[in-house]
Amino acid sequence: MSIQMTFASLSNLSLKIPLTTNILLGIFFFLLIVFVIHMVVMRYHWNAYGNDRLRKLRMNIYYFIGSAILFITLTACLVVYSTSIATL
Amino acid sequence: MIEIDENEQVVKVVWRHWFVLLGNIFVLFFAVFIPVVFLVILNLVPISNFVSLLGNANAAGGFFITAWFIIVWMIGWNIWTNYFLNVLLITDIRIFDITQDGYFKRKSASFRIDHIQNVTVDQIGIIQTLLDFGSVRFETAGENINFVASYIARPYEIKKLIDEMQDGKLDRTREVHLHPDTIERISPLVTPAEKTRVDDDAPYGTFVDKGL
Repeated sequence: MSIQMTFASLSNLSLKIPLTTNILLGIFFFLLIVFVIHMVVMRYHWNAYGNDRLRKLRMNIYYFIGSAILFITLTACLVVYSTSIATL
Repeated sequence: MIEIDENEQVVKVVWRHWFVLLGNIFVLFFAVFIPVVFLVILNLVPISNFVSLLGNANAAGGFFITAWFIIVWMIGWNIWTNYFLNVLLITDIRIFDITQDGYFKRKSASFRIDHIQNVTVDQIGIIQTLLDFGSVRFETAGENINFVASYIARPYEIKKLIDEMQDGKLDRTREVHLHPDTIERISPLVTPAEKTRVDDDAPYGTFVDKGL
């Protein structure tokens, strides 16, 4: 109850952030950069220190399929959101 | 990049038991459901007072949930990579105990199989016994250094393999000393120079000049 009261009093300050496409794009590219860095570091370790070729191949397949699905979903949500802003 | 000689052959690669991953899997499982918890909190907290959605609310929600899943996905692969790179590598000459703790902390210890004096398997508790994993302790000669590999799957198989490898080396050495004629049968990789030495019954390490 006290939390609700705190938030209610904060809302009186009229701090309202509009969720624009640019904000989502910023989050998207930040995530993409982090993901690419992570991928490079991780795959370097797999190739340098891994010692089971078959397992590495399977890991690569799962990793790229999963990542592709997640990023396609993210992009689709972004497109739908920006389109809905444009149509409103 | 594992420092194995060209002549060395990998006999077995041993990973930790999957039970080690169980705690991390639970953490990931709960992490996946954090957005659900967050949505429940959103009902308590009037978030619409702070953020104004200009477009489709479902698309915005989907975007943030997917972004969160990508973070969880990366954490999951970190955990898997740590698991994948933590190995006990058994070659025909040495054993490598490789410990990977994060991406930038790696420890690789190795010791020769013929230096191992004793291999001890510790299986403690009902879970380790039922799931067949435990610690393997290697006591080496001379340096007074013990290596302990924890959470190893099927540790008795590892012990048996190392015992067999040691016995094989011992038998080969004995046979070479007792029956020098059989050296070719035992070790086909023996060089002609070594064979000449044995054939001539010269003391080991003595140079024999066949031209004289």
